[in-house]
Amino acid sequence: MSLAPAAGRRQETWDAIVVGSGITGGWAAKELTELGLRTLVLEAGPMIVPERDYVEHVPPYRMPYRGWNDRKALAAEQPVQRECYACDEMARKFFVNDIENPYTTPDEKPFLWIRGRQVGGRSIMWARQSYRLSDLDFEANARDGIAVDWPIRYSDLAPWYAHVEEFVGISGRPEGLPQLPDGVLLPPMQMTCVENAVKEAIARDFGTTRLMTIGRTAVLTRDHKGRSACHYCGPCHRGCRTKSYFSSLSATLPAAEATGRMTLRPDSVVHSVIWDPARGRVTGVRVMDRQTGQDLEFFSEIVMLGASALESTRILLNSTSADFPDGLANSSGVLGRYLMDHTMSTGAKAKFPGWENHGYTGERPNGIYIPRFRNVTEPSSDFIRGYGYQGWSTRQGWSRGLDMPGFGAEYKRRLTEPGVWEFELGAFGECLPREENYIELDPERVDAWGIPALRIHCEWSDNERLMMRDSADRAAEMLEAGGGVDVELLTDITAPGLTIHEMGTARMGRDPATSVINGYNQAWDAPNLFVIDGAAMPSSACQNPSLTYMALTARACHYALWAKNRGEL
Amino acid sequence: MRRRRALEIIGAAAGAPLLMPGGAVARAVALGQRIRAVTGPVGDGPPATLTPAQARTLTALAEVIIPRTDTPGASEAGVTAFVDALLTGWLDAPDRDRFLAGLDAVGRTARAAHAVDFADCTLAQQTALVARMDEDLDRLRRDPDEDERRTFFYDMKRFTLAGYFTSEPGLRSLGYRIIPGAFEGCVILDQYGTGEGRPGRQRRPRMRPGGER
Repeated sequence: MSLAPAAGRRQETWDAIVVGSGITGGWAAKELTELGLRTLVLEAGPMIVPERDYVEHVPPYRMPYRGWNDRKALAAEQPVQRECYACDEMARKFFVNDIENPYTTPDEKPFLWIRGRQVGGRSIMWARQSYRLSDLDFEANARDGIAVDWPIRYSDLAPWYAHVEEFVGISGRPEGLPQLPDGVLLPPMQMTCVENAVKEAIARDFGTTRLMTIGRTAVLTRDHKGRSACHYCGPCHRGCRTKSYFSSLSATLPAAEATGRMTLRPDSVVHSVIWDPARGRVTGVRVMDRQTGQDLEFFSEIVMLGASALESTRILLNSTSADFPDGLANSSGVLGRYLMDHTMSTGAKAKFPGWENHGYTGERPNGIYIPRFRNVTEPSSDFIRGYGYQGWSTRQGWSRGLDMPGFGAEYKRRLTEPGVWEFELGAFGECLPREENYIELDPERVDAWGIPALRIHCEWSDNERLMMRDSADRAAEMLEAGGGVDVELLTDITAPGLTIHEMGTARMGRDPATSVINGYNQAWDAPNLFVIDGAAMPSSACQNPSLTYMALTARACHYALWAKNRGEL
Repeated sequence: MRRRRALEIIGAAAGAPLLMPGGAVARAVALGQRIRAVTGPVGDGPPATLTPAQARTLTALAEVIIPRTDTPGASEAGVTAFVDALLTGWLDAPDRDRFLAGLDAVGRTARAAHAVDFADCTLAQQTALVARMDEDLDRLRRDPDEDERRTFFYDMKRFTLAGYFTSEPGLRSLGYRIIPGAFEGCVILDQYGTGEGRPGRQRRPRMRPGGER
């Protein structure tokens, strides 16, 4: 691909500029270039070359601390990022340096903002679970009379879900549930013996209202569009040279590159969007070169922000003018508000004796899924909305030896055998959109490039807390039904952000007075500006959101070309 | 080398480089090869923190905990180098000093009882000394008022287990393969016997954020 020159062609213009090269930026790059638009993709972080940078096959004995992490370096450079399970000894290079990329929170409202700044963004380390939303979700705000109604319904997005699923490659099992529509699915992965037993017990004891299925994951179970089927090595978050899981680096960016119409410029920190008050349009973006500090401007007919929910909104908040003193496209005043994340930390786990002579081979990059039943088939009087469970079963490993007395030859032999089966269910709960959860520019802090840092105000509400408590009890009863013993309730509540499903802050809606963008992700205040990432979400549902972001992005791109051809941009 | 073979297999499956800005990728690939070339086995060379006497005691102690059987033991698996790396760059100073003091105490105990260093005691003498430390640890583990993690032998056992079972021979004893190639969810273990192909093998060590168990 051609890299834009750093200087000397300041007036060069593109048909479209896409800010961000992660899961939505990659889709915008693919769709816009395939629709014929010359597209500049700006990425704040460095280039990633899989042959050089991916580390999924480095065995533990090649790591200085054998997978125990360089804990002193993490404490010094990544005190926030290290809270994420995937920021490990090999993959921590895919997470930002917290010192260079600061943000602030009120002391009593911690928020964990987990970020990746590189070509591919967080699509390199994402957890790959991929579920459709349904009208239960799209109608939720209107039904409950909170926040704003989604401007679209399932029928608007269904063909775009199919469009992206067909390209991404998602394995899973169709179940025919109205609250979790089936998509275009590759063959499902297998469950373990213990998972099968719990699945049968749930069907037996809760079969009229609950169901367990294999997770739907963007990992290939057979070769697909030039990418290889998974070889089950395990640590997907360290990269994948066989392109077996979907990332923008493995799939959408190469497709965009193949058109010959994409220019990708790494190391391009977008500072703000340029507003032309005479035309009432945006004309491009201001950029600082990450390495040289040089200020640059790039111009285009269309600007799409896919920098991640909070980064896209940060760019808009930092794009001030006489027309928009409080941030571009913010005539409604809701820009930055209605921040959400999913709850993640509650559920239950149990041991499953009696399966000692059963095992599994390989590392399945996936778990099981129990779709939402609360306030679908089982009403709750305590809270609205609901949660879905992700779960996984494994056999205990050698580290159990630390809790066992003994040493010597017999002790060693026992530890080479797998230990007892354990099965854990973790609930991903819907978070309500609340005006009090918001981001703003910090008046004092700036990042390493002098751009104002975010100040994040976010906390769970009673609805989420009651939901989390319920999810622990419901998980425990299902594990017990399946034969689980020593059932342990998981009731710790982690700070918002750690689920890495942060969304909202530039929500779509039906009314320019109460939303930032319309149902095509198009800014009400600037027709040639689109916000295509999680910032667009007016409610969070409880499903992992990336698939919805991708579908919304593809739809927005096709709409943008249609509107452009009608002279409306 | 298994790792080299794995990289070759994966390289073939991946086909051409993904993104090809001409010379940029060629340079990047060359750089990558350089990076891989210098990434040798971790922990060759003399210890950075342990004195020769401490290293001798540690090696002998680890070998009593995980001895050579039909598979290599802790010393052959390089546990001493791993623990030295932890002492040098991983542990906070108070924890490092506590561990080193504990190690010295083992040496003193051996000399007081048997007039020779721990490493020069007979296996029966070493086993008796370790059994006493393990009994103490087990007693602390079951006492709700005690925190067994604050003791030398807790760390000794933890580092030995981790150092061994993340080593090449340790992982081999667990049936670890870098590229399993398939996931079979529900298999009967008896049909496989033991060794490389055995299913139900343990998961790669996955530590909690921050690296602490």
